[in-house]
Order: sequence, then C-alpha cells, then structure tokens
Amino acid sequence: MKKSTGRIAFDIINYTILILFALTIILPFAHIIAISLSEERAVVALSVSFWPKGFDTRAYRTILGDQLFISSFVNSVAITAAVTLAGLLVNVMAAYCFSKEFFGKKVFNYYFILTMYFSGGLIPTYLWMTRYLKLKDSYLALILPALVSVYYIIVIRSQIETIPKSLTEAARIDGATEAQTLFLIVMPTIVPTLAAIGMFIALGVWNSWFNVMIYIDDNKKWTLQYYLRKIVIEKTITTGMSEAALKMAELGTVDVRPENYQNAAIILVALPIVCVYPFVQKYFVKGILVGSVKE
Amino acid sequence: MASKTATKMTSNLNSLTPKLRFRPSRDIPIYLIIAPAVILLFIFHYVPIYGIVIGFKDYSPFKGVFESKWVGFKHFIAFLTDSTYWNVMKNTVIINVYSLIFSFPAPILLALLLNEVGNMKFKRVVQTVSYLPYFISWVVVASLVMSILSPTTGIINLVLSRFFGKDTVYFMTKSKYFRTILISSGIWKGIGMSSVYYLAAITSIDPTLYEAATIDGAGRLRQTWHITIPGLSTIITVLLLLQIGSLLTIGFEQVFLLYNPMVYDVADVISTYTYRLGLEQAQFSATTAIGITQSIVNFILLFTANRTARKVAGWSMW
Repeated sequence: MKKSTGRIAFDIINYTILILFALTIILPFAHIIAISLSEERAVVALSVSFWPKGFDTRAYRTILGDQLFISSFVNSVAITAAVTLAGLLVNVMAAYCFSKEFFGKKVFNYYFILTMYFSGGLIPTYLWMTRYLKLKDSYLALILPALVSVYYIIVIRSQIETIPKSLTEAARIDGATEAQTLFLIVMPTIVPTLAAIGMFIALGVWNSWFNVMIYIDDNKKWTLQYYLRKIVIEKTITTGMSEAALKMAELGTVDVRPENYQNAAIILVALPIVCVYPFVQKYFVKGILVGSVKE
Repeated sequence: MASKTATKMTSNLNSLTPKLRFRPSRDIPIYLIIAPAVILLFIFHYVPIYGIVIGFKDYSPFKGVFESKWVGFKHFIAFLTDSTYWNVMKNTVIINVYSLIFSFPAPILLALLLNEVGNMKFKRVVQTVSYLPYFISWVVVASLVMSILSPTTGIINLVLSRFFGKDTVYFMTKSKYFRTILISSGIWKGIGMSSVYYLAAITSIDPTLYEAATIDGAGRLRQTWHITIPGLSTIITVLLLLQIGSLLTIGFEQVFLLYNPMVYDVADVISTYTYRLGLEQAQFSATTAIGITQSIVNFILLFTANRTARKVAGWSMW
C-alpha cells in the first residue's frame, strides 16, 4: 500500500523526535566523558562539548589508584553479592512455605503482608539499629534489613505453585524431607524466576546509598554510590591521594581540575551498569510486567 | 481485559485453606524453613514499629526509648502549628501535582510514538537506549545533572554563552529552576521503563480492531486516537490512581541529591525535612511524630486509591 503524504510527514517527525530523545540520553554521557578526558585549560575555558579537547587520562589514573575508590568498589561488589544470594535464599524459603498448607498459615500471612503497609519510619529504625543493635559502622546494617522482600516472596510463591504437584509428591513418597524437596526439586525448576529476581535485588542494592550515609562513618566501609556522592554532590573530596592533588589544583600548582576528577568518577561509577544493562534489560522488562498487568 | 499475555497476581499469600490442626511432623519443618524471614522481619521491621512510641515521649538519649517521659500529643501539636511544616507540605504537593501533569503522560507519549515506528531495528535501539537511565543510580543521575548544568564546565552554559551570548546561569542554586530540573530529571530516568507498561498493553489490543478500521478507511493516526488510546484506558486509570495514592510520598533520593540550602524554599519536601530534623538536628521525637502522621495519611490515600483501582479496573496492587 502506498503511503500518503501525511503519513510520510508524520514518519519523518516521529523518527526525528525519537532520535532527539535518544540523544538526550546519550549526549550527557558523551559530555561527561569529554570533560573527564580533556586538558585542564579547555575545561576551564568552558569549551568542551562532546569531544575531548586534548587528551589527558590523569583523572582516571588517579581515581583508579585511589585506595578509597578501590575499597568502595570491593565493598559494593561484596554487599551486592551477599544481599542477592542471602536474600534469594530467605525469600525462596518463605515462598516455599506459603505454597504449602500448614497450621497457622493465616497468621503468618498477616504477619508478612502487614509489613508492606507499616514501618517504624526513619528515627525509630535508626535508634534501634544504632543504639540497641549496635550496628553503626557494621556491614550488617547494610545487609540484614535488605534481605526479606514480601513482594518477591509473593512472586516466587506464585511460580512455585505452577510446579506440578506430582513432582513434589513423588519426592515425598521417596522419603525426601521438606528441605530436600525445596532445594533439590523446587529450586532447580524455578531457576529462571530466581535469576530474574536476583537481578532486581542486585540492581537495587548496587544503586543504594542511603543506609551507608546514615549507618557508616568509617570511609573504608563506603560503597561506590556513596563515594560518588561524596565526590560530586557534597564536593567533599576526602580521598587520601586526590585530596592533596585537589588542594594543589585549587591553588593552581598542578594542572588537574576537580571537574576532571568528578566527571571521571561519574563515568567510572556508571560504567559497570552501562556495560551490563544491554544484556539483562529484557529480564527487567519481563520482570516489571509480572504482576502489573492483569486480565 | 487489558491484556491476554498477563499474569495473574494473587492478592496475598494465603490461598483458600481448610481448617488445619497442628501436626508436628508436618508443621515443624515448615516453621523452621520460614523462620529466617520471620525473625528478620521481627528484628528489622516490627521492633522499630514499637519505637514510634517516642513520638509521644520526650526522647532523651540518656534515658532511651523505654525510660523517656510521656508527653502525649505535644510534638504533633508543635509541628501542625509550625509554618515550616506547612511550607514543606506545600512543596510536596506541588511537586507531585507537577509530576502528575508532566511525568505521568510522558511514557504514554513515548509508547505511542514507538508503536508507530515500522522499522523494528530502530525501535529496539531506541527502546534499549531509553532503558539506560532506569539502571543507573540516582547518585549518578544527580551527578550528571549537576555536571551538565555546571556554571564553569557544563554544556548547557556553554551553549547559552556560545550561541546566545548569555551570562553564566547558576542553575542549581536558583529556586526558580529547581522544580523544572527535578521533574525533567525524573522523566529522563523513568520514561523508558515506564513506557514498557503501555507498550505491553498496546500489543494486547485485539488486532482485528485495526483491520476493521483499515477497511473502513481510517488512517494510522485515527486508529491511534480511536483504538490504541481507548485500549490503554485501563492501565492509565490504574497507574494514575496509584500515583494519586502516593501524593504525599516523593522519592527522597531524587530531591535529597539535587537540592541544597539555597533552594530549600521550593525544594524541601516532607521526607527531606524529616531527615534533616531527625538525623542532623537530632529532634527524634518531633520527627517521629511527623512520620506517624505521614504514614497514616499515606496509608489512607494508598488504600483508597487501591480500592478505587480495584473497582474501576479490576486491578489492585495487593
């Protein structure tokens, strides 16, 4: 069928809008990369747009050589791994129980669901964590409260319920305990769901920083997001090595600018996610649609 | 109705159960398996809920939660008669209303535009790019915003001075720009992933409707207006109601990372205000009193919105 003129005009406008839209997402990154790699003179002269002026990788080398950056990165990886694995385990265990019938299920049901409606709020939680549990400056303050998610329990349980009963019943007849049924029969059959939920948990933990801000004073226990916040947003650069360098930069004794550092830090913190997301985005798209659209 | 590919989500963890009696051989293993989640929720969720009593006490660090003196509604009356609180409340509502007007329709528009794209490869590329901001943290997004708006190095000021001969603008410290920055960065971060809901709903619209319309001579644009948009009405209603339900909750992160004392007059919202009051000024009891009020109002709003959504669209969050 031949396209009408109006249709062609519309297509041109539509494609143009979408290209401009995509550019608004890509260009800020291009700009940040350009600044982080440019020479000091060009950066200060407000002349760097989307392509580096000169080529200077010192900002990157300094940050990558910074102890605080390295320890923050290691902490982020470790905490994300811990919360993802332990969280999946705890949630799948609870979900398995809710897929069975047992005495008192209704009470447990309310116990879990109520937490979606009510919480203690900032201060009661903070006082309890720091004053009574003594979790100030402890990694546990970042890990333990993040483990249980009632929402994920609901999703996992509905997946477990799709497993044919004959499969678990056969295991019971062969003398498998509840734990064996869960770990050897149920978990292997719902690996795709667990992987998808694991990715949601991991992304959430990797991107979080609030609990680090309120519970962690010791900078060796910072995570990557908090490190970036300190450098760019609070503009308190407390890194041992770069602090001295930045002082000198401000005094004009060396030609490295805080802007170079800040922009290089943004890129380095964003990089792991930017590299990984094209490969995992389809799981997230599927994931957010689970439970959101109904018949 | 909205979707054929949809998954059904049961509203709670309880299915229809016959009355059961306690049977140790069956129940004890189950209790052991569910125990970790129960204990974690108890320690990190239920105990802090008890802590809200300090909203009715004069919390003193020396006495602790249990020993501090009861003062009744003193702290509630104090903040309800405080003009700072009402200004913060006003900011919260204004930002949310802006968000309803601008952020809410944005992903619908994107979904409609993407739906009109015939070239699948192009569509996929644009979609993938649009998801990127969803994956990066608010810290990174806020840092990006500050960097491109920077008066000394930012691209926006570069364009303004180079092509329009304007003076340097200090965007982040001017109250008049704050809401625009906040809303647009929110759209930037969320538009891609949010459009997924609408695109999924569009694919579930009965294709015979379009065929019939084509035979009747309706062009693509008229089809969009008369078939696609009505087909989206359910999901739009539901998401709109839920957003209205969270009228008084604003993502703490976004505001907290973007604001600074120079724009507090328009930027300070309830969550950021209570954070400063509580953790920076150590007004533990006053903050908790605001928190309690907030939770109650939020609960009522969300509960009503959810109920309405269930009635209007047969959909609910829980």
